[in-house]
Amino acid sequence: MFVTQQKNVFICVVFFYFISFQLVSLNAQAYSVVPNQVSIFSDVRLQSAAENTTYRSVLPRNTGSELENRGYSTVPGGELSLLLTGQELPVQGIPPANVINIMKQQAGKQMSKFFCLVRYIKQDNLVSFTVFFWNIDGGLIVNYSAPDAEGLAIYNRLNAAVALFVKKQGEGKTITIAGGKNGTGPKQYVKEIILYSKDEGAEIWLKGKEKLGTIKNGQLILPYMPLTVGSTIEIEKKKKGSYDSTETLSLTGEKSEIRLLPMEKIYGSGLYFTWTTGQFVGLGVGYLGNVDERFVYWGVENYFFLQASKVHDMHPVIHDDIRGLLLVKFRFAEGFPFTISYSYGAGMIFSLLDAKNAPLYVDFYVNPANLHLEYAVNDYVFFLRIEYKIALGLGKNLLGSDLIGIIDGLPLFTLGVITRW
Amino acid sequence: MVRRIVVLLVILLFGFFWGCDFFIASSFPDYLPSVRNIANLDKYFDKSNPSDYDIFTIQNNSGDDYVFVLYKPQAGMRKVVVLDSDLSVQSEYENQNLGSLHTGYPMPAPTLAAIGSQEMMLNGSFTWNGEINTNLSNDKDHLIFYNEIGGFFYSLAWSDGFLYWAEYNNGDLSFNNSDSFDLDSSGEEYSIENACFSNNNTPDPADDRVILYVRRTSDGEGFAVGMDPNSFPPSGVNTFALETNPAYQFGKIKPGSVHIVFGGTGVVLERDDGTVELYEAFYDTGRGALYFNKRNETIGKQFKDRKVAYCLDKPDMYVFDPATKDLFECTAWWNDGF
Repeated sequence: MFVTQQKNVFICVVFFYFISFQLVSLNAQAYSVVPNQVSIFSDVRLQSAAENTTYRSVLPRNTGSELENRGYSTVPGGELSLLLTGQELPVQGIPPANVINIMKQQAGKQMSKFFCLVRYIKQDNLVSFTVFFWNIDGGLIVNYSAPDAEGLAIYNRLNAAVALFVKKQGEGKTITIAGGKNGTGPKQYVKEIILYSKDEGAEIWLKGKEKLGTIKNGQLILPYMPLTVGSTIEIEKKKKGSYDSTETLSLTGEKSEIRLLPMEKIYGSGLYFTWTTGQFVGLGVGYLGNVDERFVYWGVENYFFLQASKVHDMHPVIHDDIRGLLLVKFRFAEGFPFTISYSYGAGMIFSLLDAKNAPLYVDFYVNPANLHLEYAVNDYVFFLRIEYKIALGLGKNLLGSDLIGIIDGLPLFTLGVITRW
Repeated sequence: MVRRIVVLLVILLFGFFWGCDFFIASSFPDYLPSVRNIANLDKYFDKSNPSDYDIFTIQNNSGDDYVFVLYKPQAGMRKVVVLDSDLSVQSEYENQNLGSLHTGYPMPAPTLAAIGSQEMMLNGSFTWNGEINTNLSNDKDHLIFYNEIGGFFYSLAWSDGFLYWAEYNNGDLSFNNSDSFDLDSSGEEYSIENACFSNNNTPDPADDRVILYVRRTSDGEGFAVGMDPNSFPPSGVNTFALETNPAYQFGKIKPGSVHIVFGGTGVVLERDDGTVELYEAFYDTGRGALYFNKRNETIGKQFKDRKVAYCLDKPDMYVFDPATKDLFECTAWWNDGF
């Protein structure tokens, strides 16, 4: 009997200590919070999966940005639908206690002092945008509702809700605002950015960060970013078959509609025609092929020309210039229609004189530098090319070893047009 | 807007260049379209020996033109190859004292020429007679000139500040006399470039002059001096031809660049700046003065390092390319067909 009593006492003591330990643990957990840390939950239920994906990412992030700008630290709590397995949540009003408790537990695990829920719901013509802030003990601080807010306008409301939370969270009061108005924050935010572009399918990236979207049907509405009117953003355009390019956009109003500069297409091939000084009665034809899908091209070119003179009884000399080239393009600023290219190569000029005992003369040459100034119009490029060709004086030749140019050392100038595809 | 500006610029550039012959100038030598015949002389010269070349023309008393291509290696014997107007090789001759060919006009039979100090007779075939006259320096270029008025051949060569001459009888070319004279009183050195009658076809002792083309060595100034054929060549160390006869000063010319054309009534010379000029030359009896009217000019650079010689009375020229050893027979550059 005594042994049994002792055994019972021992069990009670162990149980007592176990319970005490658990209580101490709970107390310790309850008081181990990070000051000014907010767990952010979202409840986004829109009309398309794409919208849901976008806003479930953007809304918590922007809420976090607004809070962090005001000295709070934040942690993502998660999308509510993922936490409420199998539970239906009313689309309007303060969430039920069990839902609040789930968020509270999650925030507690994250050692947050506050938690908030941002709800953006569009269902059956119903639009609802609400923001709630609670203390970690479940006390409601802010109940901000803006039923008319939609699209990018919600971000100004979000700013207002956060501002209210900051103002009121220390007072222990519950603030309920219905039909919140725009412009309550210190800054004026850009509500909507619409980009127009002819480059269908071009990806628009926030430079160095993330993809913002793709040009479809000639336009792209950017997801909201907390950008103030008057600020600029730098975007990067990427499209297969075009040169990547960056563009700085100036956001001049709450709704900024910006026409993007056209992207420069990377042409795979080009057929071109040339006319060169010093080769007056003639025409050149050439072909360019892209090597690296970017800036480097190979080319072959043939220029047939006749050489005449003013002397009596002259017989035109037939020349044919064949050469191979490697060309590198250098681009100026985005949208600037001019381009500089550099090319080099080697070739030979065949010459046939209409004279007794005339052999076929061949002038081999190297072409260490050609400088092209190009002006692009759609699929055509007009260019002026300065050419430095050096004859090697090999074999049966007419030019000797010398710079091939016009008398007085002027290099050759070529005018040409490329049709490219 | 940008497009319009670019188009306008292109049109303006095009017009500008068109107007200044920029477009019609060729990177190839201008004479190529006027070439009628080509001869390759590769086998006549030693390619392994660095050498210089010269080219001259002569017309014999029958009016046949001959082309002389002179090979001047840095080491070894000099050589001349003579071709007729069809560019068939007629003769070869080797001698260390071969030099420039200077032969005045007109030329009676037997045609006599000197190339350097080597005498050559050209009367149906070629006869190389060796040194012209031991009285004149053999390491100088000689000018052979036939004074039709007096009926003697003269060999002239500049030496030690004086212009020495030797006189030969027409016919057997036997030596007759020799003397010297000076060109100016300052003691300047000159090179004798060429000589002809002011009217080659029918020289008149009263109305024509022997025109002697000389180049002052110190500054390259070119002169033409018109001398009385009745007293040519003058004698005496105090006979200063440039100061006592009608003369014309061309400015700076390149040595060896004076070519007689138009049967003696024209001259082609190359200036120091590379311009090649064609002058019409005549002697005004009334004023007692020489006149030169520039009729045309071209850019000498078109010939690059090629050697050029002109025919005496045809608008033709010969161009020799030392690199390929090709000799081109061409229409002269001034023979404007338009």
